[in-house]
Amino acid sequence: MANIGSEVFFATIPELNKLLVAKEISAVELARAFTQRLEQLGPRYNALALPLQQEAIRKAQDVDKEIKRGRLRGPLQGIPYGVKDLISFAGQPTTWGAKPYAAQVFDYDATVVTKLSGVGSVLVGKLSTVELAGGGGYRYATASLQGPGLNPWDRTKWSGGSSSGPAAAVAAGLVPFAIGSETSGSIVTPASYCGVTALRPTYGLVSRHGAMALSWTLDKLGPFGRSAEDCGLILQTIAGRDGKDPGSAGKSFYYTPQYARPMKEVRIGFAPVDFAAWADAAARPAFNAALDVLKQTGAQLIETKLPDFPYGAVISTVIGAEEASNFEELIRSGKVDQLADATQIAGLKANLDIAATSYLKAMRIRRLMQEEFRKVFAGVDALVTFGRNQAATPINEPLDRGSEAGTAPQDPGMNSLIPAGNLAGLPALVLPCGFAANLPVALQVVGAPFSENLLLAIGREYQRRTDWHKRRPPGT
Amino acid sequence: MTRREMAVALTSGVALASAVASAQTPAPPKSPEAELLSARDQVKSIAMILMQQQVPMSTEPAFVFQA
Repeated sequence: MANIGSEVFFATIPELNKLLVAKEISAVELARAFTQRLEQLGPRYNALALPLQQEAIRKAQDVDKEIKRGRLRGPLQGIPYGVKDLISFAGQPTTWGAKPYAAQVFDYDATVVTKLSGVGSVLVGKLSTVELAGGGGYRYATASLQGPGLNPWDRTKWSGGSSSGPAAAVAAGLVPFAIGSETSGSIVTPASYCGVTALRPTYGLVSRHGAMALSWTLDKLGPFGRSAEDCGLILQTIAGRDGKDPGSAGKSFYYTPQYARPMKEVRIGFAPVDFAAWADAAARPAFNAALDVLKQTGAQLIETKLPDFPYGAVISTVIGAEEASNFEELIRSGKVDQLADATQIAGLKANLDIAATSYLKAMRIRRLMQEEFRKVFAGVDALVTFGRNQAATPINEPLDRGSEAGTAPQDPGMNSLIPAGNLAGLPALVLPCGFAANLPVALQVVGAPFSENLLLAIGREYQRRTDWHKRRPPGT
Repeated sequence: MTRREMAVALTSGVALASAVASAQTPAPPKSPEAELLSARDQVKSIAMILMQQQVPMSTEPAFVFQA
């Protein structure tokens, strides 16, 4: 039996793979250690939806037999992981974080689970989500079956949503990596608040088969990991064409750091007002230092503006209409009233009123957005701004509380990059970049569709020069 | 998408300062009826914003139907 020290709980995928291949540790030992830690500490952060110890140990035993026979399946073989509880695992509850679906069980695995199982990864648990991934618009962090997501850096602060469990579990060393989802901000926000590296892939690159649909034209699944490199290795496994997903782009992804362009050829667009004015004052030093590091990589930083569109109105119409259609039976049956958040209940009901003409107008504006973003990416290779403009908020604070008086600048900068990037289907990489009042803050780097290798190359260069992604919450 | 994200996004480029000023303090909890009324008002105000947008007739919606 290997002696598993705390450093193993925060090891990267290549580090764990090295231990496994060298037989310094077995897959069963890893699975047992992580399942015990997840079951022990997961509830501390309201991050655990469902422990899967028995299933994990069985899978790990198979993996150990393969490794013993010399059948090596790549860097993810034997690596434990968790999935947001809107991703199905056959025969086990998939609650979507919501009381009306608490007893829901599917008889098939989501495609991401099938793909990860195929390379020998070991699912150790389902992780918490905001109910229905936040559909309808929630007002309080308590909008989840597991209770409010508590931030491992400070349990009086929110872990962010809706992928609360995946972000908190990776941050606290409860799993080496996790799969979450984003419709608009649900990967970027919790990764930023918890100080975790994460990737929102291009729309259609990762199959959503077996994952709850909130908004068919916006939903994406993506990894939370310890580094940009980890995210690349995970994405390589979960990406690819899937006939079971009508939104599948039919493209594969090969993580190719060896072919990365020299950083001096990379042009990164930014808006100075983001960091000078939109960012919370306490976070500005960290963001400005992060920009300096990006410049040190040799990348050219170029002032850039987002195309001018009503991103908020468009995205709330698209999500609202699609979720109202998808959850129409829940809403009309009255079961929607079992949800935890009153604002979310009202939002779902009201979204039944969205006119078809409004939805189609929004989708037509979206087409114009795509065209304008093509022009943006003719001038720069990537865009950078903050993941969130401030550190994690107090757990009891209403999520519709606005900025402090007098702090809103006239120039919107790239403050709308989360809805804009999601509407245009763009990939985003979240990179922890420092602290504000002892809580993590992060950058988001956004690229043209299917430019994940470029984003990961920028992330790798950034993380070669910093160690923010290696920091551990107190007491872990 | 949280209400805060929606509020921030909605105010980009339209009446930014006044909207943010009015959002400085959270509204107190409402009755379910008042919540629904407020949510329906928001749907209407968002529809008005979209109505004001000019889109060329040649622009098709950003989804693809394949036979």
